[in-house]
Amino acid sequence: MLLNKNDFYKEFSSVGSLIITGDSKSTYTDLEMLFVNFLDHVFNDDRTYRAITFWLRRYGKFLSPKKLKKLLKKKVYDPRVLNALLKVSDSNFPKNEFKSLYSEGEAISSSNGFKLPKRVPRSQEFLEFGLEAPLVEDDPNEELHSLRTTKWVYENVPEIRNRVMGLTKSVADYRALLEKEKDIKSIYKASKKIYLCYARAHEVFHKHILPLKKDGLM
Amino acid sequence: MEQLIENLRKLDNFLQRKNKEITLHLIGGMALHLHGINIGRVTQDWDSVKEVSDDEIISNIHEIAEASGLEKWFDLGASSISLPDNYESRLIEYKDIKLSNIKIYLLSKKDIVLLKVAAYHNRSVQGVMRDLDDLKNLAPSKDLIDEAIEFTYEKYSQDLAERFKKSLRKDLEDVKEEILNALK
Repeated sequence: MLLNKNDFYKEFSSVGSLIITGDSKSTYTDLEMLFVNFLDHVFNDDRTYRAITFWLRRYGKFLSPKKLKKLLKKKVYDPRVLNALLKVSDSNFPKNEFKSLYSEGEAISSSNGFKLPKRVPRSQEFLEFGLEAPLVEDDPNEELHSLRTTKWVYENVPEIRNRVMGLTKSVADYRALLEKEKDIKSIYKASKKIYLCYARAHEVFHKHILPLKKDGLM
Repeated sequence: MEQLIENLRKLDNFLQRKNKEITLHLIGGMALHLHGINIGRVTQDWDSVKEVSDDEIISNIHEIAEASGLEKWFDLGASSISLPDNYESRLIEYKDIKLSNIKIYLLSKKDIVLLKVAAYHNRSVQGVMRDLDDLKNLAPSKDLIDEAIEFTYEKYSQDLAERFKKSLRKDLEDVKEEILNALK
């Protein structure tokens, strides 16, 4: 689901961003769909761009390339922006897991990112794909102006915590969904929310969720 | 935003219990927001130029930071910046957040523009461009930008050798041009 600006910031703040326009949201946020929305919002302004960059450096490595590929098929996007964001996600992750997602398609936008004065240092990740964006230094102090602490995220964002713990992406997402939206009873609804095919959602529910529910652990 | 106000209330409760008071002289994105300037998005921190040096209060600020995950919710470092002369005479008291032991004052819009231009000059060389975004929203007059450029020159040229002063002057001409272009 592609989000307008207001909803985008609500979603983003629910998974650690400190860029706000109003309240945060308490329902489930799909991380890969959030990434897809980054494509539309990364050039909103400098604060947003920096928060996205810091977030991807910290959590990009937990995104699922397979799920991203599926979601990107339904979206019209500028391949240069996708490539730059993948590059940022890969920057702290030497395995280059997103290699298969880089696109060679034509630019769909005449915009080349931000309009920057000559003296402002550029981000190499964006420059590589012909886009203008300022350098974001790897500064923990600046990062904490854009993102909540990792401790807070671990304690309050099951979407990320479950992945950090090493659960498979589909199990991690299903569990995070139920943690945040306890009233979800139908597997069909859950599969829609976490962008998982129904058969796999059914399998995850019966294999990884139901046993815990039966024992009162979820 | 609610979280940020909640944090301030927690600090206020602590100050009540300890019978202590603090005063904030706010700058930054929150000051703009409280001035009613729609900057669209703000980061969640209170930037005050008034120093807080009481260890007990600083310790409580850190405790609140840890509990809320907002490590930088109260910027103790903002007190180190160079301020416009007599800025205190232009402060505006902010009363919409009811607190008993914390007084909130906003720097005037004019003083915020002066500091934003200086901050843009300082931080843009590191790639930080948010001050230019804020200036667009503040929409200052050309005269005020001229004044801000002079303010920046005066504050940063004080300890410079003559040849570096010339270089600073040249840099600030570029900065001025960039701001004026952004405001077009």
